[in-house]
Amino acid sequence: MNNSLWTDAWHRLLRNKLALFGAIFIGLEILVVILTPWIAPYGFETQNLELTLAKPSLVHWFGTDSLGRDLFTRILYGGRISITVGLLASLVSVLVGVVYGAVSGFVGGKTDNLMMRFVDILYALPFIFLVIILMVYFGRNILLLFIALGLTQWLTMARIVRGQVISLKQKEFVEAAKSVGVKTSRIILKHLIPNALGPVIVYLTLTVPSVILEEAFLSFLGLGVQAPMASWGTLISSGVEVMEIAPWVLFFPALMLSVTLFSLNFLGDGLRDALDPKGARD
Amino acid sequence: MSTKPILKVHNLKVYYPVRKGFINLGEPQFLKAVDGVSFELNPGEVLGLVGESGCGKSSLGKALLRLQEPTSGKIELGDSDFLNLHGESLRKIRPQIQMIFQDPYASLDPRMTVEATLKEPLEAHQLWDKNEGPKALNQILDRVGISNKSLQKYPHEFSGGQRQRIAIARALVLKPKVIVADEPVSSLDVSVQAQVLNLLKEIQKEFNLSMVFISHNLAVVKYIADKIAVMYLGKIVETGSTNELYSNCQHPYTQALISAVPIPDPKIERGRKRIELRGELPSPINPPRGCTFHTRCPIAKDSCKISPPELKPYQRESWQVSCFEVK
Amino acid sequence: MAILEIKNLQAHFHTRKGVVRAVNGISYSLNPGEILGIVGESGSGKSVSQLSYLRLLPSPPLRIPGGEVLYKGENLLKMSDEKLRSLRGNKISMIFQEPMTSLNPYLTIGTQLTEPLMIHLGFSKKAAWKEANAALEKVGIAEAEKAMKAYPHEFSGGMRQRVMIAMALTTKPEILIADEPTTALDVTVQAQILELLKSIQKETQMAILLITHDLGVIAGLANKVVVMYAGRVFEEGPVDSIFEKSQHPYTKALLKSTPRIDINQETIPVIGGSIPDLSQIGTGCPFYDRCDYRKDICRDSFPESRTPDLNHKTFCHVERF
Repeated sequence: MNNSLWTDAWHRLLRNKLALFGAIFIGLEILVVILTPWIAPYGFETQNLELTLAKPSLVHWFGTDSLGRDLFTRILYGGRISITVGLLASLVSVLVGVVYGAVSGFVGGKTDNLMMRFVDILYALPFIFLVIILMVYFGRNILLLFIALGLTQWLTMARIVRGQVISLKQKEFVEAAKSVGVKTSRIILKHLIPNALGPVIVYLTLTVPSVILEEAFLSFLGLGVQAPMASWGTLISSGVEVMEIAPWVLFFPALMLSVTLFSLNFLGDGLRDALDPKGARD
Repeated sequence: MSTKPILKVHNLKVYYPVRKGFINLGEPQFLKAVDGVSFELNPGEVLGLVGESGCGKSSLGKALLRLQEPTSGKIELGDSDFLNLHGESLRKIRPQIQMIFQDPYASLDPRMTVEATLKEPLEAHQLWDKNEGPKALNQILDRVGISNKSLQKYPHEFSGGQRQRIAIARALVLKPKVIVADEPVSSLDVSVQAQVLNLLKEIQKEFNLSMVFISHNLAVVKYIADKIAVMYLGKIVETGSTNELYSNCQHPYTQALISAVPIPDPKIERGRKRIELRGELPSPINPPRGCTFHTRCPIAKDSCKISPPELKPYQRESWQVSCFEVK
Repeated sequence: MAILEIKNLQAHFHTRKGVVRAVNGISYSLNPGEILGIVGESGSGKSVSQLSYLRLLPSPPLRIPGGEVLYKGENLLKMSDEKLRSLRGNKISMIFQEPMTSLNPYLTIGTQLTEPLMIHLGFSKKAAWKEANAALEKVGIAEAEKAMKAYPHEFSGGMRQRVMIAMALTTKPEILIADEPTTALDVTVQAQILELLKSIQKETQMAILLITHDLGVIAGLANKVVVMYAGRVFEEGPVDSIFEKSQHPYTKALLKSTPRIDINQETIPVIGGSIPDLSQIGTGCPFYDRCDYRKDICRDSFPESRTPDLNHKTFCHVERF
């Protein structure tokens, strides 16, 4: 990878305070999520039926839910699910989207036309309903959830990469590679994809929150993860039920979700500005 | 002369289809960028291809490397029927004809080191040797005037002139027989232009390269080319040796072109009479009937509007002019 | 009296990478009816200086730490915004290299031509329209009426440049600043535009500041020449004197290394090295590293002007080449 262009981008990113905050927050979150089994003060299934819907206190930092389970612990474990689903699904979308878009853009002509019409058709489908149908039919399998959610996102990634590739295709260094006799597959791999990476990274950081939100939505509808496992979506769903008598049960998971989404968005914006080659020529 | 031409181009055409809306009613229209060009290039010879914007010289340059597929015509590269090669056989013959591009800021991949850029052509043809390779690269860099410590640097660490030298090095790495240089010095400052021009001239002589040098700058072309071909709206209107053309060109367009070039000498400029062309460049989608130049030609007659002239020898076989008024 | 006098102008850009001294203390003058050619390569400061005269560059990052730009004795740099605006596009007009970017693609030519007339000279719409029409005809655009209703993208490069010239001339300016007006044009079109400028200048006797890197263009049009390099003026003098009896190593080298179509050049002598980084300029002569005649004193101090010939100034420590 290119040292100087990336390190220059790195410096510019560091100067962006919001993006920095976003990055640090996400970093901490991921750390906490990994260390959850050791950090969580209680088991996530541990019920304490005498202390249901307790207010936040020193014993239970975020209070307890309707079954007396420690909310803080539940949020930690829920975070594991939400963030993992977000990252993995986004990875699926990137892999499928990048390859599809790069090939379509590079080959061009009728093939490109066909491939993009296929994308257009898929775009028109109300994907979330398809996911719901899949979930209902095949049961609530976490792996299926990853894949299904990833597949909802690859379409835009494919379009972005295709656009990048089309504009890069015209660039003289790509023509130079062709004229020198480099094989097409190598041109795509060594020239087009690394140069298209900028927007891909940016879009990736914006896909993750999108997926997390979708998962939360599905879970909210009761189609995501199964009890007693929790994701932020299910926690929010349960929180809504007791909103009036114990608002903190809704508040804390919602807060975590929101701040995570904000952080990812700030980071994405910051990355987009930092990786913009026009800005690099200061 | 018994030497066989290293490059023979015959009636090359590059037509771009022009779409008129979604539903195509009527005849399809074409932008005739290159409209039947023929020439020969001998080993060690430099052909200067000149013309203004819209004349098709860049499209011709790209077509010579098949970066733009010609619509019809024939190209003989050495013994091969270049246009009839595809896939692997095309890829394998590419080392024989290389290109130097105009924009030194766009022709090097910004994310690849100099070493990676230079070794890529060798790797593509299984010619890269891990042990001897870097040494050979340094030799070439040395030859083009780039320091030995540059292999690990990135393009943006170099100036425009230096990048162009690196681009020249890349073109040389596969030891080609023909080099097509598309406006190689047009993006450079005047003081750097001379450096790169001299380098090209030296290298051309040293490696006995055949070159097609494309430029809109007539003074630059005069310096480096042995023979010239002047293009207008996709056709060659005059071709001949550099000396002949610059001192006594025959085609009215060539004459206008040369008279238009400013000379850095105020006394000479004051005494010059410019040949002014009327009107504007016609659209290459709908070129004028007959001689495509007649709409602007100072000596056009009615007969020029009827049918297009052909290239005919003037005084000798090697000097060809396409004009009814030139005998 | 000079109509425009630049006195020791400095224009610096303050960037994160340091201070870029784009214009580093230049002085010259433009007389009424004169065509002054400013020749320089990229980084010479020739364009930045023009833009700073009319305060067309955003400031920050531009700072003008010193110098004066005197238009008929008044300093443009210290003038009120209002007064400057009344001069710009009126008494002092500018045309640029890329006509596509200086013409508004969303407005018809007619609208853009009549605007300065109505704003600066108080013409009525009808009168402005008539005047603009006449201006288009003057610059050689046939079917001016049709052209008035057309949009910039409908014209070729040469035509657009003619429109730019028409626009610049409608207000009958005293000074026309032409920044690389023909660089983006084909050579035959360039010849037409330069002839046009010549004939208009003859008729109106306006002063022209012609900025270009093309020595041929300067030789064909200018009466007086200023040679710029890395933010400094190296030489100033009558065009014949500069070309035939240049008094600066840079000018001499530039002239020698320019390919020409009228003489046979076996080899072209080269100026080694490259243009210096404008953020690292010291107090000496910026051409030091590339100069064949350099002396120690050149590295440390930038020379004062000498006048070795009539009206011919040079800024160089070396007296004989």
